[in-house]
Amino acid sequence: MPDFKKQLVIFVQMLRNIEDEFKLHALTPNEQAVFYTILKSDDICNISKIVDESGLSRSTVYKILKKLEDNNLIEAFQSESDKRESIVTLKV
Amino acid sequence: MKNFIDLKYFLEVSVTTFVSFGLLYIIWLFFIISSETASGFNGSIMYIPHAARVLTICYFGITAIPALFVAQVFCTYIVGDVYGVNTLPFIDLLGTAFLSSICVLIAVYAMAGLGFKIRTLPFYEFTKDSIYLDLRNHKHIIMVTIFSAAVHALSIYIYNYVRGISTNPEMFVRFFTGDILGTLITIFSLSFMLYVFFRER
Repeated sequence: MPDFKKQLVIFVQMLRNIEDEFKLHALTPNEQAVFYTILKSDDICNISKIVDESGLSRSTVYKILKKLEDNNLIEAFQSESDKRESIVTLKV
Repeated sequence: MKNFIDLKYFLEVSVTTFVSFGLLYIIWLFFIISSETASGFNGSIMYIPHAARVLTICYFGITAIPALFVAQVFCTYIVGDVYGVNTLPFIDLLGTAFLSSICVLIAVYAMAGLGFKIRTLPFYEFTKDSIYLDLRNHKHIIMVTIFSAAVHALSIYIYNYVRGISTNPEMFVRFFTGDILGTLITIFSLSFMLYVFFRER
């Protein structure tokens, strides 16, 4: 006879596997704030915009973007119109 | 004692199934069907209650079927009727609800025939060569979702065709995509909610 609680545990494990797949749990709250700012931006997202919307300092945002890039979640490239500015897009 | 345990399990599964289907049905009714056009009645483009069918049959097996049937009839006849979703005569509502309730089971048996078996299924002899569906793996659940959406769309289309209710092929497409999209949205939303509520992980 199957155990009800055991079946539920398997179900929760399946949901947690989705978290693992999308690396949600690997992000700190600040990293999530940056990630969701990029996620919800409709048009081109640059670092100034992330700094404004996330409320974090520029240096913190730079560090976080580097980590997200290392985790293969985003990619950053130089803006064609302004060489000092980086454009950030989602990789997933 | 054994009968008591069986009854307890049956009640636990039935209550869980009924509540989860009902909850998803109400969310669907309020947030999704209201944003769709009248052609939504040819099959919603995002039918999230299908997730309740897939998940309960996968995790609880055939024990969930009676509750799924009752939930579908109750939700459509009582709740859906108020919002004009219940467009079928009662006998056809029973027929379509029955097909909808067993569509996941048929899909899972069809997959078992192809070699992908599931441990919660009865009446199946497992051998050492059997490949089991891993209920911890969301990709396997998504595969069941796609198969069951195909079975559901096809069975409802054939039923409607035979009963002379509708011959519109758009219904098949809308049921198929609606069931898949609805289930995926539900599973991913649940996963995200689980992460948000238990972020101390």
